[in-house]
Amino acid sequence: MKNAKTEKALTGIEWAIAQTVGEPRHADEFTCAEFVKAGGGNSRAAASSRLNRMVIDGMLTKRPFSMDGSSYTLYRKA
Amino acid sequence: MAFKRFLYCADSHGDLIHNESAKKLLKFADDFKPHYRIHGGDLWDFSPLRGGASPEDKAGGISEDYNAGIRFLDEYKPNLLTLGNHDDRIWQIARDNNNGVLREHCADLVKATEAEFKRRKITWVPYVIGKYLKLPEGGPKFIHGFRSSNVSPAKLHHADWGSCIHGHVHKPDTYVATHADGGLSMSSGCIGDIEKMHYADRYSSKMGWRQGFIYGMINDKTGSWHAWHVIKEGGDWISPMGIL
Repeated sequence: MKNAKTEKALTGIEWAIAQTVGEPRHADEFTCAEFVKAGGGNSRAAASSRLNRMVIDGMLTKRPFSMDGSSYTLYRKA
Repeated sequence: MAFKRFLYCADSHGDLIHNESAKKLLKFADDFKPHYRIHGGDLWDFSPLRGGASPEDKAGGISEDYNAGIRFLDEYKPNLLTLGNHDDRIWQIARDNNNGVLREHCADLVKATEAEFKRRKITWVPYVIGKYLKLPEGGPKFIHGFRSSNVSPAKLHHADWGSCIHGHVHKPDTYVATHADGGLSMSSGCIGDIEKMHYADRYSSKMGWRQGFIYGMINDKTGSWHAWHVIKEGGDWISPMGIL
């Protein structure tokens, strides 16, 4: 049904997509919203500011993460 | 004076195809013997190529999806096809994506796919706002659809395209124009499996989705036409011809 060129293109696309899949989320990683829920700040803005300060101070690391079609920042103890 | 028959289906979504709907459509085509078979787009789903696709979406790959789309082309044998927003993902990435490897492979798949259309003698149009299909006799414009509102989608599309038949919204709908020149637009149900389209699980509009397709007749002298829905409602396939 498919010719070799189609097959090659499909394989190539699947390989290229696989390269864009990041590391899975780890159990000790959390989002800003989860930090707020856990009492990390009175508002999302305050929590975000506090988290960013901790990243700058080297207490946390952060990385972008895609979940359910939306982008998030995940934080973790350094 | 003679009438020509046409059959329009859309939104089969590759490997998310609803097998029962496809069988009903193909059986209907065998009986109705349309002069024109039109596929209104979203032949494929290509969910791993969606912007913001989750790792789970990406893990699914696209080969199964692509093969299912080609298989449906061979079964339905459309003469006319318009790309839909899902199909257009590979054309879009081939045109402008900052991932060079993905862009080049999509460009190869675009070439291969256009060759598949050519080999099957399918007249097709890209998913571009001003492009549409029309029968030689005239009649409605056949498009995929661009507006996503499920509130009076046929009326919304009529406002931009005039008389048209479109898919995209998965919701059967009809708008009879209140205009001196007349006019009629129809939104088609889908051939894809509604239950499997999880990306819309949180949209209330999904409750208006139905499996279905559209058939019609056009006067080959005057271009006057009419069309009717075939809709799966509950467990029954309802058509003006009766229960299929």
